[in-house]
Amino acid sequence: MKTFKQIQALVKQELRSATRARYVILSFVLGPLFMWGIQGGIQALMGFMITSSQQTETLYVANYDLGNSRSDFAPFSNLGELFIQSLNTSSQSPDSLLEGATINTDTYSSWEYSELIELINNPQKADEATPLVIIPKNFTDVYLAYNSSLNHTISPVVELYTLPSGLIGSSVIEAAVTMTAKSLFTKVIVEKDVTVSTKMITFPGEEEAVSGFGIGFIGMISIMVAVMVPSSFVSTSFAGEREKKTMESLLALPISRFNILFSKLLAGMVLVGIFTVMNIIGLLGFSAIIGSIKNDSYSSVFSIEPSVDMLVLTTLMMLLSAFIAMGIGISLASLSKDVRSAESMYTFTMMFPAIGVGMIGMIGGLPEQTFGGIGLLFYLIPWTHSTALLSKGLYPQTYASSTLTGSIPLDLVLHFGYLLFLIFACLFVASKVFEREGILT
Amino acid sequence: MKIREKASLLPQEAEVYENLTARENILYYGQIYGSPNGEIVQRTEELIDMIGLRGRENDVTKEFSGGMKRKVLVARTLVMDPDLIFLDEPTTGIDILGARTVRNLIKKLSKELHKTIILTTHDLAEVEELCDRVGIIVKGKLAAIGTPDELEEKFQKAGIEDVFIGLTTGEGVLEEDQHFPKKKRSLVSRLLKRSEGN
Repeated sequence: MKTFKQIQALVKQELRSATRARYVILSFVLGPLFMWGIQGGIQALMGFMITSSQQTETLYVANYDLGNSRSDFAPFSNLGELFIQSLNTSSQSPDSLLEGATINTDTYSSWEYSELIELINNPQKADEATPLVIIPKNFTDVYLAYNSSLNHTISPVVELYTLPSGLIGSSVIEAAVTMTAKSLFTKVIVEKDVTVSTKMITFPGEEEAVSGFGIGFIGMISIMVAVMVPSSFVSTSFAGEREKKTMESLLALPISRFNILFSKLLAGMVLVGIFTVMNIIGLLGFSAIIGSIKNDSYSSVFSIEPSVDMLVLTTLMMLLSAFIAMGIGISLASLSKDVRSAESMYTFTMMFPAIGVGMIGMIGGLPEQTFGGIGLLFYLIPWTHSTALLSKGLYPQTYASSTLTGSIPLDLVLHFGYLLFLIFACLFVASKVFEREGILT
Repeated sequence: MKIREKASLLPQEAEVYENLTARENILYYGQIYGSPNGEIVQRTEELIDMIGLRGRENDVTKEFSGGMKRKVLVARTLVMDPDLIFLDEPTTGIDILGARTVRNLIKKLSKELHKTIILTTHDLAEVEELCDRVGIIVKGKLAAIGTPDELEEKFQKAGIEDVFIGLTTGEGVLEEDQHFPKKKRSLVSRLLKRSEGN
């Protein structure tokens, strides 16, 4: 009971001090709102620039569709051509992201499918042929069979191959065809039945990763801020007490060093919890900003549609990452003489790994997919497990072929377990470092 | 831990928590000791009156002068009513009025409340004013201990300051001090002999 009261008193004091310091309001409450608002503004500006840009991109199309081989569906002779027609129409529409794009159906019209695949898998030549849409030879037949089948087990697929830097993605294609479709038939194709399989080509020849822009962006921002935001609190709470000469008196009180450490961490986690909530609010606001842009093509590409799973996993990821960052930060702060040194050490130690992991998450890949075997070394960085937890948790099918343990559930357990282990390891190290704090030194 | 529950320490360079009010600073330390909340609140109010902070108790200590901060520190040190109090240069660095307040408080604690106070100071006038027994440390070692009168008589000096100067310079200091156990006596003796040789 006494220990509980002591910890309670310490936590209340930390929170009271922190909330009366301006940095807390700025960092933990206004910071995330500001950050997502700025990002929303940047994305909106990007959308304006993209939609008003004079630069065109060439979209190559190879149509292998043999058309309707069933005599009982006479009006639908070749859906592949209908698809291309919609792309052409949207490329001339001022509201479309495909505006000004050249729909090139000639260059690869005589190529075999296998030749095209070989071309786009060639690192030196892939950019000559991408973005590339391949309409398979049984496109019309499969669609008709899909429609007439009660089970709807097979849906027609249009393949889109693009490089990570390409602007044209599956959402653009879908939106482009949808917005210009005049017939109910074409709308039905894109909205309900057709799977546009986007394959993001990544070299050197690793399996492609598929995850939307939205989740990659959320993962990057969430990791970076979860790691960097605790800097001010950790530095002030530990190095700051030493600098302000309150540590010595505190250590002379009848409270164990571990309880002091634990209380400060607990207070930090309360602040991180507040920050996470504000981050989620900012994320929802960002999604609303992007969704309100009156450009279906743009918002279909860049908008984020937060689901409950996404919000829960993002929250968990941020809390775990922040806890580890604070554990490491305490050890660094205990080695520093003052707040500025502690903050500098923290930033220097955390920034580059956080940015690296965030960027990998942004492009939607896992480290071993992006860098091959050597990418496994990234798993030494704690936050790689956080992004992996988020990606695999939300898109288990997408990453099913890229598991470390052979199954997605086991991978999730591995990542979560590793993060928990690291938390305790950091606490242990931090408590040993904190033990060095002396009285009357 | 048991010693820390009975004793209280005010380091020389201690500081208040500047983002907390005077009351919150004192309450915080009381809560660390784990006393019932009602007792802590009552004790805090008593201390606020004792040290003369009434009227400023709800002000954030960032705005306080050095003397007022020192008062808050002293109050914080006393919040759990310790039996043994260590005060490391409590009046250093504060104004004359503040120092006077702190000295009066120490006198009250010692004479009226019968607290055991171990005070370290470089101000020998303060020593003569406040201390019942004096220990003089020379080069990190306890060179003499006793009441002021005893020390003056023993070392044949007119005041504590002269005793101190005598001990540090080796001037006119008696060879043996019977208050020391043999080990310490021998150290003092060596110090004295060394100074005679010079």
